[in-house]
Amino acid sequence: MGPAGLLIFAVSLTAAGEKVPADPVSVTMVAVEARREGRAQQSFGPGLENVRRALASLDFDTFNRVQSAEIPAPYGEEQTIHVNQKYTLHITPVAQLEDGRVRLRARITARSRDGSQTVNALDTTLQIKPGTQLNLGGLRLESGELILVISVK
Amino acid sequence: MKSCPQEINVERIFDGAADSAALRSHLDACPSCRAYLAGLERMRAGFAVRKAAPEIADAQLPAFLRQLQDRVEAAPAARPVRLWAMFSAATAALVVTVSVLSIVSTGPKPIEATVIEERSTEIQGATTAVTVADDGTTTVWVHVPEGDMW
Repeated sequence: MGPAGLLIFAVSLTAAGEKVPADPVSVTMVAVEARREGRAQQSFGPGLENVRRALASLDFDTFNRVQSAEIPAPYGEEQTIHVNQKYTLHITPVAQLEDGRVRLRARITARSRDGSQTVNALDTTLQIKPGTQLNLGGLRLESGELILVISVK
Repeated sequence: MKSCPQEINVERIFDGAADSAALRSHLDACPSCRAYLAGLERMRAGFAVRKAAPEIADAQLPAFLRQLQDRVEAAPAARPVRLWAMFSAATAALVVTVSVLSIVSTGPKPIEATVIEERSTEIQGATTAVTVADDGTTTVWVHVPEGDMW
């Protein structure tokens, strides 16, 4: 995108009540493996204290942390967090909305079992309020399903 | 039918005040007087079937008055309906109605913390869905079909 394009983009965001702050967004991701083991009560493994509330409503009884990361993500730049050998999270903050929410694009790419293909297993653009948590899930792990709990500040 | 001058005598027969062969002979000959006498007798019969009003003996009078007083005192006092009272009742009914409607109505949807603008997947046969938990946590879920590829 050239200077003219950037100018048009900035003007259009301003007109929509959006802005592109210079400071990056801090993105936190906690990758969780969720399983159904038939427990009477949900079990949360170590390191999930801060995401327990976001996970509690999901139809699983066992949660274990796979990976977690907190990275600065400048607006307009895609940042990458490797979840495991199969999945990678790509985060791009787009703009800050008038009410303080952040519009961002989140992609989870997946490699096929044989490693021959990589696709966007999930590609979403959303508005998230800083301090709240969002679940991206449903992708398969070896012995459960993957849930990424994402928040920004 | 014209009235007969002898009607006065017919009344006396009716009252038992007079009776004579001449009057009876006139009654036999005068349809007007016969009809007048028959009317008087029907009237008497009508009064006879009227029930006699109950009589209160002197000995019963104190009890009767006491019962009457008891009933008067037991009856709720009639209060005049005042305009402000009617207005208050109408206002109360309006408040209750509005309250019930506000409870029953879902009202405007609360602003969600997270809004999903777009979502898609490139996994063949997979679908995506968005759910919002009671606590407001949004979840974007990918439903992946069974298979060896993914």
